[in-house]
Amino acid sequence: MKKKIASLLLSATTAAMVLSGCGSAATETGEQAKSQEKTESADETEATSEGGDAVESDKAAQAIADRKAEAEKSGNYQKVVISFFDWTGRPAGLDRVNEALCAYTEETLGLDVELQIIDSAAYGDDMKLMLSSGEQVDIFSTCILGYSSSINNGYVLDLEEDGMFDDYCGGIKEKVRQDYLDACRVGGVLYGTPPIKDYAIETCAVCVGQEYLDGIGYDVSKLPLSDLGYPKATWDDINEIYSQLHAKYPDKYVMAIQDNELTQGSSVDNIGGDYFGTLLDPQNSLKIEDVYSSDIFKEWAQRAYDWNQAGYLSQDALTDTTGASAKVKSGSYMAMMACCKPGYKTQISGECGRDMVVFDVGESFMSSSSISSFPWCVNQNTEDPVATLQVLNALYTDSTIETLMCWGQEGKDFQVNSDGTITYADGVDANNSEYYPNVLWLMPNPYVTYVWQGDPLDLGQQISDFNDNCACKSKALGFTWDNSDYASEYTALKNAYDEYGPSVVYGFVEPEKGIADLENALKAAGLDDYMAAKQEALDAWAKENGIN
Amino acid sequence: MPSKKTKQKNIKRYIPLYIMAAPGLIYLFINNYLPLPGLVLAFKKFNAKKGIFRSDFVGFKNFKYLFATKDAFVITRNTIVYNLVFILVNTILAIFVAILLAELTSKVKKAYQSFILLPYMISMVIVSYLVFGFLSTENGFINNSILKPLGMDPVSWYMEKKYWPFILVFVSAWKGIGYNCVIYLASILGIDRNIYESASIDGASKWQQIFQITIPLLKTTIIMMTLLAIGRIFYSDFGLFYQVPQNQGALFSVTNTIDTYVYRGLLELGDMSMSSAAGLYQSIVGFILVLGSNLIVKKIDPEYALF
Amino acid sequence: MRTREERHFQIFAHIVMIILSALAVVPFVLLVISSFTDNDTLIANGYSFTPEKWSVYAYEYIFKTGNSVLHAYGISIILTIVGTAVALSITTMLAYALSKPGLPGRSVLLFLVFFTLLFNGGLVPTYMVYSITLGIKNTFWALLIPGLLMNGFNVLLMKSYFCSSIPNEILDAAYIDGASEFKTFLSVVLPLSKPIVATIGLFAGIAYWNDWMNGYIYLTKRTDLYSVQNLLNRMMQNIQYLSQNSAHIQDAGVGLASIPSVSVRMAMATVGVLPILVTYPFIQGNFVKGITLGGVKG
Repeated sequence: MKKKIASLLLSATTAAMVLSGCGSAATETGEQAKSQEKTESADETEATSEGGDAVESDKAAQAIADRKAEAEKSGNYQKVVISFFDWTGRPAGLDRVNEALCAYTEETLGLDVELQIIDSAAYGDDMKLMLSSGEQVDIFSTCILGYSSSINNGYVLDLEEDGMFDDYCGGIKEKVRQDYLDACRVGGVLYGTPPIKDYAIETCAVCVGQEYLDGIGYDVSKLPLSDLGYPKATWDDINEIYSQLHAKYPDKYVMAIQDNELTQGSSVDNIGGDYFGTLLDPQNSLKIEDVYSSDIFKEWAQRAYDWNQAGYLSQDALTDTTGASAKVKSGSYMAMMACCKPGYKTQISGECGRDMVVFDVGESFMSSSSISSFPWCVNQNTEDPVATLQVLNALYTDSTIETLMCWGQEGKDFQVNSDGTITYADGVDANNSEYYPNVLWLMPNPYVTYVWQGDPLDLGQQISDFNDNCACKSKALGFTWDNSDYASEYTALKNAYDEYGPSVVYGFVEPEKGIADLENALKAAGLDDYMAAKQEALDAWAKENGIN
Repeated sequence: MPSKKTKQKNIKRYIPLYIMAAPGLIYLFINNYLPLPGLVLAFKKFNAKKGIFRSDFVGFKNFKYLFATKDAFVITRNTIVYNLVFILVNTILAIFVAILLAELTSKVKKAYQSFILLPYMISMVIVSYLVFGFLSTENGFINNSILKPLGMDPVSWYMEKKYWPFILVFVSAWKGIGYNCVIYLASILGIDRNIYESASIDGASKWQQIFQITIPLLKTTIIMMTLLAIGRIFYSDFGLFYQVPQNQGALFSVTNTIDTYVYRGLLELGDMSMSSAAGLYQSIVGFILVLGSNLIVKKIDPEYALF
Repeated sequence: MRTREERHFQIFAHIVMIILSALAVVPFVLLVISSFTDNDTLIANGYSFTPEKWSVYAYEYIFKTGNSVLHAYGISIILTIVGTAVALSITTMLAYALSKPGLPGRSVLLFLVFFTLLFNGGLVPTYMVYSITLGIKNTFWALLIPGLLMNGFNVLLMKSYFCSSIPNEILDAAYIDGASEFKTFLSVVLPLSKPIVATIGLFAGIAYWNDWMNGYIYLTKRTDLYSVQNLLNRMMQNIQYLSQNSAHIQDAGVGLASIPSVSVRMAMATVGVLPILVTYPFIQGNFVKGITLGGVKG
């Protein structure tokens, strides 16, 4: 674990920046600003993007000239539609932003660009229908939709067909490291390009309300600080805190336990996106193993069971789907588990409506699927792949386009501060903003545009350094598992897990028995076959990529 | 038997009927029959590039996951048995309530009717939260306001599968009673009141009237509703079986149905061919069953047959 | 003149109906009370009839966030009225035709209607028909037509009523009087069929009012066409998604604390049902006279 600390630090800072970068003033933290004292200006970021344009090959310039000539003749520009989602649905100002976007892209790319923003509720279904029925969507984010299911259903275009990618996406190749691009290959084919962000999985943290710690008189300063600046705790420390909390506040639940905590605090690689067959030691070994029979899982199950036995958890934990932070906010829960990152203290304190102390108990790690979790793809039936790829390229390199996409129009949606960061335009706030998608983390390259108030101006460079320097990468980074031939087993496994898994994870059954039941059910559902198939695919992949 | 002449006259007479039927039939054609060829998807590996009809044919591979599991028996059993119980319980309750409503003379019955329709208006997701409000282990009404005052131990409702067959049947009846009883109520109100009056004069008691006039006259509706329900016997209300029990593993042996089983897998897989296959399988079994039942009904009394 | 037995029966019926009504109303009251409960109280204490802390914040949130709920009400009302009217007309006419025993091809047609109850082409093919072939995506038609305009179940239900409750003699008499088929239908059959027309009208109306799927699938650009249920469902799912993924999606924390995640869904359910609740007795009283005042005399 220690070997990872350097990168952990880096990951942490950058992660925080990504986060707060997309956030509003509410999540911004003074800490971040202090810890990051870089002074590069936004202009410089833009300069890089200009550089990106310059690498465009003659072919690309020719394609643009051809389109312009065509448009002059017909009076119409061809259109490229870009789809992604946000949290609140089609922004009121979208038409205006699209207009501004077109005015710009007609000049630079010789075409119109239309953003199609759908809310997270409908995005998956709507996209599936549109992509299946041949409606026009040219570029889309696979977030929610799923990268591998998009590939399985044949929605996506091979970006390297006829050498297109080399000819028209030079900018992407410059912005995204080759091995990150390769991480999006499935069966050797490049179907998508990853959004630029930090790819590491966050570490595990236990967050406890400050007032409760004060109540038990716990001295946080006796713990060493982790590289993130948070008290570094072991599970023993946490257990000690929990037992004191429980004794002092018997009417409150100690911890709001929630899903997805199966392997938190460990670096098990849920290879191929599911936990049925994992890499237990992903940095060193490509052996697919069953996590549920591992000591890692046993340890977790025992811990959760002990908590449950001690009365730390609500008896409704399995059924109450309310988010953990909302539970802590309600005042009847004192602690929760989450992912840890710098600036997180502020974010989680805001979410929980009280001061929270963040105990760092985990480690940071970049899993096999971290890069390829939701790349941007091109629809296989896009009318003019060259034009579409050029737009995709521009999404990674062109600051004007990316600014419009991320932040809307200057003066109407945002304004530039004297320090180069941006904030809401005059008279605009979070409630009446007409364009604020708030999904920076899925944008192709949010670092060619402005950063929001409170974030360091050289965010992009830091992110890229962090990714380049990350030492804790899974050996299987970039392996994608196509389980469509094992759909029967997968369905059976999922049902078996849902039947026996959660009660072990939430500590409602005695671990020995619970794990045995789970194991039996998984075995009966075909876990061994499924794992063998995964192993086979992984070995083939490793051989192909010269990894051993 | 009509003579040839009247038959010809009849055909002419029927032309306006065809015209009246036309809008509905055209709609069915567009809404239901035009998309129907899409069913071939169940036998194909869908690929958007090739389109539905040119995707590769894979035979019955997409159906495999419905059977290649040790759960196949449990999910099929649950689906069928619950549906049978629902048919029985919901029909009896609906008729019972419909008769009461029809016989009530007070105007309050309007209010009753509105009230019992209320649950039908609430989505299953919300119902699942309400059920949780009652059954939650720590804060639920049953545990806190009923069992505790009675000095009984609280029950972990979501862990004890023995209660769930009853809970599910109850929720299904509770939610559907308003809707179902309206159907029977309409039929009862269509009955000629003179029949009752003469029976009353003959000295038939209220109960006799109900059992000897009302229920026999409801037979057409009952049989039709039952036949239609049989057609959907392999389907299950996803919300009722997934959301209401909160997808709790401990309850699977009594809550897992074909729909919930399929859902858990396809949620991640997103495979359209496989979901198409599941639907087709459910439809075909229902279709065969309903054809068979209809045949039997037809043999007994053709008047009651669906077609 | 009411006999003793009749009185006993009435009392019995009232008792049963009061119990059933209570069973239906009590959870609904809980629903409404929860929607007025402070979100934190709701999470901490669970759903309660006597909450520690009341709040109207959930409603504030619904009415202040995003699209206008009132506008969506307008869409829902127009949609429900138009939809119910069209649905009733085509359903009644088809059912009437199918109820004629002598209609040539009747059993084939009946089978075709029945068949649609069991088999459908699936979401994608249906979507393609409406979106590509008919091109009604992002129009009001997309809310009105797909799936809801007529359903085979209602047709069969109505046909069965026509068969069993309209005496053939009356129809024959009308025919002999020289009334056209359409005139018979309008002036003889419909008046005799008030209960079933009211019933199917109710079903169609509820289906239109409650539908959110069509808007979900076919409205990607016209947010101004969102119906109430569509709007509320989107809100609810967005909140759900946001709150469950807050750990993984980093900027989700923004504003999350201010969303009353639990009380808001109860408020949404209330907002969705309330108008029906308010108007139902009115509709019942006027439009459905036949069904409530003791039926039709033969």
